[in-house]
Amino acid sequence: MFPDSDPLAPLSSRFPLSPAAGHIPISDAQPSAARPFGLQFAVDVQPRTCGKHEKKETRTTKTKETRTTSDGKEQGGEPDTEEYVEISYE
Amino acid sequence: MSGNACILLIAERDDAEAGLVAESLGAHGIEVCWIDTADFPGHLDLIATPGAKYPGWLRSPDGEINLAQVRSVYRRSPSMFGMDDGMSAPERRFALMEAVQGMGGALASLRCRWMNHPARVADASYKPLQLCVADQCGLRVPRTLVTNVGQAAREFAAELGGSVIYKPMSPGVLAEQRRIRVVNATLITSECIDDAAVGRTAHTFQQWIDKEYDARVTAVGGNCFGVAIYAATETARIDWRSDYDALSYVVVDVPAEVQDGINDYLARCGLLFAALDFAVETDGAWWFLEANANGLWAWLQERTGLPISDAIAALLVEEDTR
Repeated sequence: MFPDSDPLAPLSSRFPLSPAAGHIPISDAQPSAARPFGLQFAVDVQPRTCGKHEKKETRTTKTKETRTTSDGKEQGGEPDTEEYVEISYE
Repeated sequence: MSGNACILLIAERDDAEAGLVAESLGAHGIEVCWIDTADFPGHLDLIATPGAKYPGWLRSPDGEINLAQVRSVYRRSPSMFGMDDGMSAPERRFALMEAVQGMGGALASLRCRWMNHPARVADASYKPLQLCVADQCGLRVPRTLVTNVGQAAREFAAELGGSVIYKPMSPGVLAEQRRIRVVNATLITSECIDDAAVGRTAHTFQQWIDKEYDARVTAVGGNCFGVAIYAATETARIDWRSDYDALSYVVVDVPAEVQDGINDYLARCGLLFAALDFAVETDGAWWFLEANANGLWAWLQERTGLPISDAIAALLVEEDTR
């Protein structure tokens, strides 16, 4: 068994890390017909106001070149982009 | 503290809590070495020698850190390793797991004072475990049901008068429809419990405490810094994280028996720090809700003036006699 495939205690949880720089990838996913009960209470995140430690929702778009051949050469075409939101909690 | 010893901070570069701790340490002339795990491997080198007499080195553009000289570690929500964007997904997964083993393992094996050790943080992150340990420590714990059975949830709610709190056990963050959403604690009635939807994963239902105020206790070693959090709106009264603008903060004394329970909780979990949430009733009863071994506190220090960073700094410098 791969160490990180243990669903109760994955190896990666032994050295917990936040998403890179608090970035959460933006998703176009829509609510499904198999939505868990708890998600009906999901609300849009409110920024925390706390003086100089304030964290606001910040959207950034990062270009990531993924269209390459197996030897690493660019294939051309539009580059893929990833959009992130930076935010903090509690 | 001996001449060459240093305090290692593992945190994001702009982490407010780590910044305040660094300021407190710096005010006393203590050398601080700050690393951000997101810098590994591009801007942070690891030269570890596990099993040898000396554990090795970290090397960044800021200089070298001799791991043998690390006196204590303050770990505050470090971010994911920064892998080369050119990697494929499988390559990235391999590289991340190797980094967890290599960098994570080399750091976690440092035999020094940790606030907090990552493995202890991981263990203490399970909410059901928190409630069990809190109960064992003599803290008052609300009745709680964790289930994927809707009928059990309805019966639980009926026993408690028809209304219960639903709360996520994880951070409850969801990215969908190009929005970032979060699930806060919500007061619900038994009628709205949907069997099929509850059946899709574990759900937590908890007794509603008709509280006068919430209390956040920032526990640092044997010090308990209590802050009463008053909410001006009904939504914030149910979960204060839902509306920070509706909150006001007052320093509050933590009852001695609650402090004893908190200290016992930290000892049982192997933690030197935790941010604990309580609901406080008008008769003075304190109900334990949850504990975050990685919780934020900088905004509370700013709002109340409590010397939390000084207490953390003092504990990091103190001789570890274990």
